[in-house]
Amino acid sequence: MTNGIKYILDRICEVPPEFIKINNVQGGTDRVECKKCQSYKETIKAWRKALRWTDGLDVALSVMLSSIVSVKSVGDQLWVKIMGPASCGKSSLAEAISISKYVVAKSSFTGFHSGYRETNDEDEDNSLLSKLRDTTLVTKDGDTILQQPNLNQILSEARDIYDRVSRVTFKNKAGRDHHGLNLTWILCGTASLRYLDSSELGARFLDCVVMEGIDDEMEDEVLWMHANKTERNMRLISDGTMVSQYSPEELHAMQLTGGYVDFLRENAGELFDSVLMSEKYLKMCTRLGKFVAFMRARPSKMQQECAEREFAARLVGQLVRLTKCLTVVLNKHEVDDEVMARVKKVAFDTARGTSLNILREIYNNDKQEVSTQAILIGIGGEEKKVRALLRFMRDVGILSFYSVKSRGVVQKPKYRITDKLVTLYEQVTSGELVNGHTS
Amino acid sequence: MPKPVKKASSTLREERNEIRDILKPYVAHGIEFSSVDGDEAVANCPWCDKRKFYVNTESGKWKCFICGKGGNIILFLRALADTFEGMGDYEALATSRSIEPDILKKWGIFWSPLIDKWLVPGYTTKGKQISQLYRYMTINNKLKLLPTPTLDHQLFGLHLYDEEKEVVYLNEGPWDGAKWYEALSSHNDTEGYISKTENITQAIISRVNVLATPGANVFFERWLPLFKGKTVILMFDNDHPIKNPKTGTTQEGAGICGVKRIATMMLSSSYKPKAIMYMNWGVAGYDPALKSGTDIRDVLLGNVK
Repeated sequence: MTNGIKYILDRICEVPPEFIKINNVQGGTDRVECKKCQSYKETIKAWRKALRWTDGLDVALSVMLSSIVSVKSVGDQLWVKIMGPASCGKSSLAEAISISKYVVAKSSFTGFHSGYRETNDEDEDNSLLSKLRDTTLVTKDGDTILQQPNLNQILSEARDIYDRVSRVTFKNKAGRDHHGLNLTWILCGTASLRYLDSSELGARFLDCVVMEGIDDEMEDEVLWMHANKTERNMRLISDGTMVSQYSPEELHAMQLTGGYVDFLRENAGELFDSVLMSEKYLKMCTRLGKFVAFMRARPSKMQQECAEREFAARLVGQLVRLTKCLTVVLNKHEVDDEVMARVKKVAFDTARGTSLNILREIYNNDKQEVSTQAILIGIGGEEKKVRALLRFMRDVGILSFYSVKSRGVVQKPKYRITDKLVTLYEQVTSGELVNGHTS
Repeated sequence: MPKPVKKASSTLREERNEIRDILKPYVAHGIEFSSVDGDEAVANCPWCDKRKFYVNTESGKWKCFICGKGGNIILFLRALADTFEGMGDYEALATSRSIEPDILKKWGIFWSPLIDKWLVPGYTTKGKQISQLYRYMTINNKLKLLPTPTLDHQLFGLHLYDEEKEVVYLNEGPWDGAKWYEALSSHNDTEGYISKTENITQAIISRVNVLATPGANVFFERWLPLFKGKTVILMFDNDHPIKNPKTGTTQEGAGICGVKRIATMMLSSSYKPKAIMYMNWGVAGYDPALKSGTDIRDVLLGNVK
């Protein structure tokens, strides 16, 4: 037998390259290869050559990468919604991060537990959830989820999963419990996505807006670039592979992004260890968290008597997490103003809505009292809803409401911001972020 | 309103003159269904021998109402393995296969008195538990390993797999795998010098894994994660090229085809191994001087000059 072993070991050699035939398969299984990348700046440089790169896209990409790098760390998970008008570039970013093995792209699904195979003890689990463990789920067109007939079921499964535990029991009495789920979700879409997380059970997502409206001048510039690119590309023939669908610059940017995602995920522990965050920025996160909690509170649709807002603990946890993750993503060792500016942008995007518009309307009026009519004129919107919201904002302590007598005549009632909200607003807007940069 | 007519009991073969797919795996392991009553097939329980062994013909689940055992087909196979583990004349099989009895037991091979056949377990990558039992039986005058019908192919030797070990040998068939395992368990490799050893902690096997596929053309994507970052060594047979009788064209032997296919799959996946190597019998992937089908076991037994 000894001679036999020697005979065999002497004949073992490397598989020659000509043995390997990697076919370009159409649909589903071919992947763009990642390129090694350890620098955010290098990634952005490549994107600047591929797209009309804006500050909004820069912040959006850094937030997406933060969500990915946060997957396995302890604490509230970073689920983000990336919103912007159609064709603003968010899908390109979603495609780019999807080429990494740590990201799973799903355009639509019927539920996290669907695909489960009926057994009591068999260890095969074909549910989507089993495939998503320790990864980031990216949905590049989140608007399709809004069309799902079982949207409420998907959202309630998602809320469970956010808490890292998911339990399901099927009608055949089979069940499956998942514990210790590490999964983040990046949802891209238009402003319609705002509706998605507005449940009474509390919102889990942080929002990031790529573009507020469409800038005419920028649009003209982009349209010219795009027209030229399309004209050039019409001369090329696609062979059905993913690789041939993109221009060389886009492909390179995508490959670097995928490589950077791999680097971040594989070194997350080490990178987080070295991040310093001073008390100043920690305090700012608590202020921002509380502010967002006030701003995204909404009147209950089901209970008339109850007016309450969420407790800001989860938001603060998310914002602190986002701050540290952004620091890592931007290749920094310490939280600084640039990182904080991005966090503030995300916080304000999350707080975006009618409440914030009302607050700004009154604040910009030298913080003086403003009548309901003036508010309606300033912000627009349906009168009945705005009035209900104003009453709600009064009930939760954002606004106060009173009427003044002037020359013995009771004037129309007016609203003003409460002192605590003025203080809070001024704290969070000192050095307010405008388009990704500190103003 | 008339009462619904109760479906008459019938034997399996009377009903449709064929065994239903869902019952095939049970029949393959010696369960003789005496009747089908509604949506349940009834047989004698292999454990308590009472005629209270029921299999639901819709779900495929089984239960004995006397001994209380039950589950799906996978649990049935595992229950068989638990019950009959270590049973059989291992000396006879060892002589027949030229593999040490201890190694045969270590690879989970056992005798099933239900069908009077040796069973070789295949293991799933999740939890490394039995999910297939191959029956070693004569088909067309040749001894072959037949899988349990309707169930997926699985890897042999996976229950012995150690993730800490950097090298994985992937053999063709459990007999080759077990024999290679035996060889590496009794030999050491010190600076290229092969010597016998009785100390298992010093033997080559303490540093490597040995697995086996059901065949050179049997490999699935779900097995790829096992090989991520490992040095994989494919040990397939010396199969000569064969002429397609219909087209007249010459096709490469199954062994070298298997090497190419698996190497391509591994390198195309996101579970890339550190390195892929193979047993190179000769130029063009085979040695014409050796008989077609010569395998690792033949070499170890000294049948190769």
